[in-house]
Amino acid sequence: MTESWLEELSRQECLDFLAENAVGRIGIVHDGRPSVFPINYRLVEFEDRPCLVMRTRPGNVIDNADTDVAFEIDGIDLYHQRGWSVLVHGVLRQVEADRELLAVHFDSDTWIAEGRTTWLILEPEVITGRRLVQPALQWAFRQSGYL
Amino acid sequence: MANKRIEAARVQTTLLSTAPASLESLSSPDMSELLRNHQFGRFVFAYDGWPVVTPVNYVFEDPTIVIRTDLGAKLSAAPFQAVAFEIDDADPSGHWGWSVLAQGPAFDITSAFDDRSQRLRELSVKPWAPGVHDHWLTLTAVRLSGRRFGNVPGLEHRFAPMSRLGEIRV
Repeated sequence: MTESWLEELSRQECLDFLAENAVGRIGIVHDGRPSVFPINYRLVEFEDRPCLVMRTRPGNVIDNADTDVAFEIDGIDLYHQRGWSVLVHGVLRQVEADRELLAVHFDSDTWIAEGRTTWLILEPEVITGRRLVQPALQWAFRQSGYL
Repeated sequence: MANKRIEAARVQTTLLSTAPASLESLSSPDMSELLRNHQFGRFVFAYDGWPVVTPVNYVFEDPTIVIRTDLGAKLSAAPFQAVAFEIDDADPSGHWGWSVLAQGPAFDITSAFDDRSQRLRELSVKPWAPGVHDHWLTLTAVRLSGRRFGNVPGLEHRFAPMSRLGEIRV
């Protein structure tokens, strides 16, 4: 079998994946130690720039971490051993604004909403994405044999 | 009688689906089992203070996460530093989900002579990505933490939702 290869995703492909998904992983560094947590998010336009909006509990580890963060989403096809991933780097900011208004326009539809009253916005500085492509699967027999 | 049962089932479904989800901690045996039963996760390291999250194939040999890599950012930034590794899964509609986070130091065991490193290098770690991957990185899981919500398939037997049944009034 020919070997698989990696492709860079275009900016638009990355944004499309970010728009289609609802759960990602936020990577943070706290006291020099990196960690990563699944989180619900929503891609929104904010001042003509794409931004990721999230909610968290005030005072938790994400809220307390350094504001230089990474955000990752991926889609994996275990059976065919292929997939894609998008990695965003940027600065995480707390949003001080009318919460009602935020909820109407930006809610990340957090699955576990209880107590998650801090609104965070991630403005991407760098967005990169890759796709792992496997060569097209070959027919085990001559295709005409099935016709 | 049959109607009553259907009604009961309906009430139960409603209760299970509308009850507000809350996070619960995973036990150590559950976390180990989840790590053993998966082969794909995300390796996290700090590069000049910035976190980097990269999908990787791995093998878990308690308490060590073993991955293979090329020359690159992972190999130059991770060894002897605190790193993290994460696996997770969730129902697309948000009814259940879980995640396991391992944290600890990373080591490059590519040319280590000790018995354990040699044994770890015999594990079948198969990266899907193209390339040589002739460097072996480990994360010693000093700290494991895991969370779940909802009825996770495969784990329900340990988290029987029986307590909810008591709430049903037909």
